[in-house]
Formats: sequence, structure tokens, C-alpha cells
Amino acid sequence: MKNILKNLWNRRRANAWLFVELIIVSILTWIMADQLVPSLYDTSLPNGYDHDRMAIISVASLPDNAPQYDATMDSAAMREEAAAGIHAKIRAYEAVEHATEMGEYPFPGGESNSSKTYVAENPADDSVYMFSPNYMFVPADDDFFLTYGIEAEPGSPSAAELSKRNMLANNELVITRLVAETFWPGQNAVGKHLITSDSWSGTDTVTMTVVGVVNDVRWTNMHRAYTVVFNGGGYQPAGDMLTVMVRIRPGIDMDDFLAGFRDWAKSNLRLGNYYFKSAMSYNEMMDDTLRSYNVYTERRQVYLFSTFFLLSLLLGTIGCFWLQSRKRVAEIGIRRSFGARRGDIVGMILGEAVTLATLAFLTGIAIYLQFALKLGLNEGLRAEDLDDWSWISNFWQHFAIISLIVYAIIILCVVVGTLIPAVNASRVNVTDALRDE
Amino acid sequence: MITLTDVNKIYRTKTIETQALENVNLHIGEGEFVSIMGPSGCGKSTLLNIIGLLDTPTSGKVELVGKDVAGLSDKALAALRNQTLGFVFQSFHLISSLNVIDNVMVPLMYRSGAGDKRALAREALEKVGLSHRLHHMPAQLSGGQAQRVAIARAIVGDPKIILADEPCGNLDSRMGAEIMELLHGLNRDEKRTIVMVTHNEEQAAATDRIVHFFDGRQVK
Repeated sequence: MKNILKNLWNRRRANAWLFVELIIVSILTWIMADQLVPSLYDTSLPNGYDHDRMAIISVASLPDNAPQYDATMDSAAMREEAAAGIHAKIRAYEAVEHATEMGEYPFPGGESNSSKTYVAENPADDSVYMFSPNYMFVPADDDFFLTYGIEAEPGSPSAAELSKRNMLANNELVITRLVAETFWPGQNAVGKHLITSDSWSGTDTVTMTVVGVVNDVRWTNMHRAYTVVFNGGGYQPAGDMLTVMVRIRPGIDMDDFLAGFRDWAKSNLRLGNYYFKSAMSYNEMMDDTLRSYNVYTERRQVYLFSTFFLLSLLLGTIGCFWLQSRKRVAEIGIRRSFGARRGDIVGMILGEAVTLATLAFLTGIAIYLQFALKLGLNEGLRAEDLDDWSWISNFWQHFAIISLIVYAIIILCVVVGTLIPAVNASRVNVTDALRDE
Repeated sequence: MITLTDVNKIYRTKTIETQALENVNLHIGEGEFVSIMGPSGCGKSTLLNIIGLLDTPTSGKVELVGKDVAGLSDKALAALRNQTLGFVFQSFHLISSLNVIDNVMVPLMYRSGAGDKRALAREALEKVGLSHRLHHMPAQLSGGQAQRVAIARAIVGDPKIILADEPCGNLDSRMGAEIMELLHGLNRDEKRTIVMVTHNEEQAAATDRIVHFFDGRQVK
């Protein structure tokens, strides 16, 4: 290391511009990685429920000017009866394992959401007590958790038991593991309380009892938050649109299911004024949602930009170090004539490149850090921001993780970019190298 | 110490084949100071490069300190160069980014367990009378001083053989004489074997033996 530092210092004039360039590259790579890494991280996160075997069935009501519209079937009672019949028929369909009616409630992966603020009662850490999760309505006695494939955590009643509860009637809720671990780490959260406002019931606050803890679920794969809370869903009168989520039995191909179900549903889901409108896979619905929010386009842009940037970085590094090692052919010839092995030459060039890149990287991130601190990005999260639990929202964790990734990228590029010129330089014909001098 | 048997060296390109050395048979004993002379392009430097393990013969056998060097790996050749040989070049070939003492330490960097490398380098520089220029850069030295540094670098690893390729070629006569005196001292006092390529008949005459080359052939 001493020799490497000495060599770098002795060749400081030649290395200075490369050093400045690597500082700029470090900062630019930081900016690029700050886009790319969270995007890849968000994409890689599991959603927490098994959507591969889920489909969404939509049933609509005929408009009153439709030729087949029957006004006698449009009473609330007749609608309820028809809706119940449709639900029962879907449940009974051979390929359907579980079904749950979502009515007009928002659901994860869809285009709408609901959120409100909860305050934890007696949290283990007084400074962490409030959060604003997405919340999801759970219809009573409707196989909700089984349909979504959401599983109960140890110490909690099973998904089947939780699905049967009427949570709304008893001011109960189900929370995810992350919520439980945040407020009551190491404890069984079942029986704990969360306090929230309830505008519908007219009360200022309502104390909800945690009756179950399930695995982490996130609302959409656009966002990384896992703080979903499951509330009891109230009675919804059968409206113009019925939405039923189904879980198909294992081993059945989704496309085959959808094709068969659509044929069957056309005649079998025609009850009252209701008719079968559509059936699509949950994955397709999630894709549509992401597409409608331009998520794919934005991600594609980030990936394209990053690929282009990394390629440029790699080619630039190869070019710079190639040029550097070409200028050192005579020196390499001298070292070889006095006993340096090829490996010594490769080690020397690589060692100098990695050291220079490391020093430039440290300088670059120190500059970038000053900039971030000046912008106040390190200021603490507000209590209501605590629904975003990930490292991405924690300034120092974020800075450390992205910096490590940037360092790895730069070192990888420098090693790959230097290795080829270094190996070539080590193979220099010594007599030619010394003749050139 | 150095034995070449039926050594040939042919340089080939797509269109031309040049015989740089033709059936060279040469033995140089331990402690000898041998000059190699001949017109430019006669193969003198090629011969020195082959002896110095910087180049390989097209055919023939090269033995150095009793060891046949044919088939030795790059690692073994590098070790043999490092332990046995010291080079002095016409244009000095000092590393411009290193100061005097660091230049002299170069051979020791590739040797494990060489002891106090800095002390050895200082000692070598004392031998060539340059212990007061340790931290000068090569660009700050005169030609004669640069060649002295090169000689210090050649002897710092205590090699048995010194190969000098026109060591006075870039120096004026006074400096050249000083360098020759240094080389003679190393041969006389330290019994080092020296093979020197030169065009200077006077300098050659002062050595133990002169080997003449012409068109790649050893003529005398």
C-alpha cells in the first residue's frame, strides 16, 4: 500500500485529472444509483399475498334502458338475493378454491386506496406511536385472508379463523408483522389496542383491538410501505357493480381457468339484472394499474439511463486506464527487466487504480454529503411519515447503502476497465518497451 | 557463468525474415569483463537481451549460472533475472516518477526477505558516489549521475552478472570514463561478471576480452 500511495503521489500530475474525473463519476454514479437502487428494491419486494393464483370477477347491473332490463328485479331485496346467488355460484365453481366479495372496497394492487392515522396504545417505544397505513376492509365471514393467501403469524389465530370474524361489529382489526414488531417488539400483539378516529360512527376516537397478526402486505408495488391494517368491512348494499376475488385451486393454469370461467359465467352469472362483465387475473389487473401510473415507463427510463451510464462509465474507465498504462510501457519494461513478474505488474496497475478510485470516491461522497446536509435531507422523519419503514427513508442508512453500492459499481468498473489494459501491459515485450524509451 | 550453444535468433514478419543471430557459441567465465563489438544492427543488443532473459532464442541453448533457461516459466525467469542479473542501459532507463533512492530500490521490490531495502539502496548509491542525491528526481540529474544511479540499481540486488548496453553511449568522454572506472571497479573488486556492448574501441580494449559480431555472426 505504501508503494502504491508513493507511486500515485509521484505521478500526481498524470493522476490529478483522472482523480477529478473519478470524483465527478462518483457523484454522477450516486445520482444514478439513487434512482436505480430504490426502483430495483421496490420491484424486488414481495407483495405479501399470493396473487399468482388470484382472479377478479366483475359482475355489472344492466342499465334501465337495456332491452333485457327487468324493473321488477331492481328492488334492494332482489338485488341482494341476486348478488348472494352470484357469489354462491362463483364459490361453487369447481376450479375456485376460495372467494371473497370486495364490493366497492379498495384492494391492494388496484387503483384506489384508503388510509387513516392510528395511534398505538402503550407502545414499547414512546417515540414511535403513530402511523398512517393503507387500510383494507375485510368482509365478515367471507374467506378474505384465505382468498388472498395471507398467512397468520405465530401466536395469532389462523387465517381461516380471522376470515370468519365480524371485525367491524367488535371494533377489531388485524395488523401486519411489521406494525406489531414496531410498536410491541418481541410481544404478542394480539389483544393490544390501536386508537383511531372514526368519522363514520360520529365518535372522535375509537379504540380498536388487535385480534390477529399476519405476514407483511404492501398496498402496491409502486410503494414500499408494508403498513397495511385490516379493518372490518361494513355492510354494502348490492350496487351496480360486484367485484369478487377468487383463488383458483393449485395446479390449474390461470389462462385455462379464465377461458373456461368466461364461457361458464355468460349463462350462469345472469341473475336478476346482473350479468357477467369480465374476469381477469390479479396479475393482469396489477399490471394495468402500474401501467396507468406510468410506473413501467418510468422504470424503463431509469434502467435505460442506468445501463447507458454504466456502459459509458465502463468504456470511459477502460479508455482512461488504457491510456495511462500505454504511457507506462517503458516503466513496465524496466520493472520487468529487474525481476517483476506479470502478476506484479497487473497487481501494481490494479492496486493504483483501485486506490485512486477509492480516494476519489471518498472525496466525491464527502462533497455529495455536504450538498445533502445543506439541503436538509438528514432532518428526521415526522411522526406521520412513519408509515414508510424502509431504509430508503432513513437518511443515514440510505446514504450508507447507496454509497456502498456506488463504491462497488465504481470498483467493479475500475477493475474491469483496468484489468484488460493491465494484463496487456504486463505482456509487453520488454526489449520493445525499452527500445521505445 | 554464461554459455550460449548454437544460438540462432530469427525475426519473422509476414514478408521478411531477418536472422539477427546465427550459430552463436560463446562462453563467458565467472569474473570476466567481456566487450561485444560490431556495427549497428549486427545483433549485439539481441545477444545481450537473450543473455539477459529478456528475449528467447529461436534455437540453441542458453545456460546461466549453470542453469538451462529453456522452458523456464515467466515466474522463474523473473526470479532468475532478479537474483542473477543487473542491467545498465545506454539511455539509463530510470523511472521518471521515482526519486533516486526509489529507483535504486526497484529490483528489491520484487524480492522477498531482502532486508532493509532502503539501507541497501543507500549503500549502493554510496558505492557510485551519489549518496547525496537520494531524493532527487531523474530529471534533476546529469547524464553521468543518471548512469551512476542506473549502476547502483544494477548492483543493489548483488547480482553475479551485469549486462551493460552501451553504458557510455549517451555520455561525454569524461563522464564515460568515470562510468567505465565504476564498472571496472565492480569487476575487479567485487568479481562481478560484466558483459558490455560498446562501439568504443578504447573502452573495449580495457576489458578482458572482445567478441566481434557482424551480420549476426560471431566473427572473432
